[in-house]
Amino acid sequence: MANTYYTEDYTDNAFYYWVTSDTTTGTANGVWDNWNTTSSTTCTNTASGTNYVWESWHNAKPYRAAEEYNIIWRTWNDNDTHKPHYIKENGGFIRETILELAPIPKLTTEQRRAVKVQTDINKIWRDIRIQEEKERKERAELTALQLLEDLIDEQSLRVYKETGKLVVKGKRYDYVLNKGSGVYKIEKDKIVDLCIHLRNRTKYPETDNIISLKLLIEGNESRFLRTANNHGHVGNEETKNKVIELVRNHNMLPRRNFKTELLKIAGGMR
Amino acid sequence: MGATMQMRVLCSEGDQKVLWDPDNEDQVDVARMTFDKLKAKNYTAWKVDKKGQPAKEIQKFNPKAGRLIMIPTIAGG
Repeated sequence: MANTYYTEDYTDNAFYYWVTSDTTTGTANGVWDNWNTTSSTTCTNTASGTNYVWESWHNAKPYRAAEEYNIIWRTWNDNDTHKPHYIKENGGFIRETILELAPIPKLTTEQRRAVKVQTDINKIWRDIRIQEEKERKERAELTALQLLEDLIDEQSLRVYKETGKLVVKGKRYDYVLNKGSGVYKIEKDKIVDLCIHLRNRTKYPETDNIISLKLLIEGNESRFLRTANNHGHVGNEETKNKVIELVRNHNMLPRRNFKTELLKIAGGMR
Repeated sequence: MGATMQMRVLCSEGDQKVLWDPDNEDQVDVARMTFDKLKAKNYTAWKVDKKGQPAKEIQKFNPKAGRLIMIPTIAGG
């Protein structure tokens, strides 16, 4: 039965683990428990004379297998740290020095304090920048809202502030503009989901987007429809009902047969 | 001194106003230059009159346009 031998830590050793068929305890757990020489003679680590793999070799002086410390890799250097590692016991490589692969520099108390202060300062500056950006966006949105106020009536403005929706009448269709999302086009018997907005829309306040779409619908509906991407019919009943309610509240029931459909969806309200 | 005209240019701050007196040539020149530069950047110009009235797109600057809104490019999403 083969035995497997391991070193303590594979990062330090020439052989992390090896297998030997010799089950005797003690000296039988060498790297080369047995091997073949060029004469095809099977040798073992207990054999004497010239059968060792390295029967003799030179380091600072010639070593032979019978000598003390006559192991081939008694010491070796780690490429990363250049620290020497040693074979401690016969038959197995055991790490003698503790290797710190990624030594963490030890900071003095003063340095640790400085790091903490810098971290706190960074956090404060980050919070200030976030707050400033938030306030800038709020001011921009308020400015955009003031411009919209100049363009629409009071009731529409109130609904827009409450719901983020604005009903716009084009020459061919009616539309519901949704702040921060798409546009609903109200067609005969159906509602179509359109996607159209300012290029780089995140750069602008959301109400600027609404203003732009309103002007385009009222001033050049054909271009608006050519530019918009059609995302299909709105099938969600809840959404449909919300649109119906919005249009109803504005006394802007859509033209053509859509009125019938609205009443049907709304549960027969007449 | 005539009535003050204004151009609102949509931007990341909401909008920026450009005001001019149609009788003041220097102010008109500044307004025209702004208008032309924005048109070159594919802004569309909309003449807005009374509240609730549909806006009208214009291609050329008119010093007596009244109130204009300049809109950046709109795209399908």
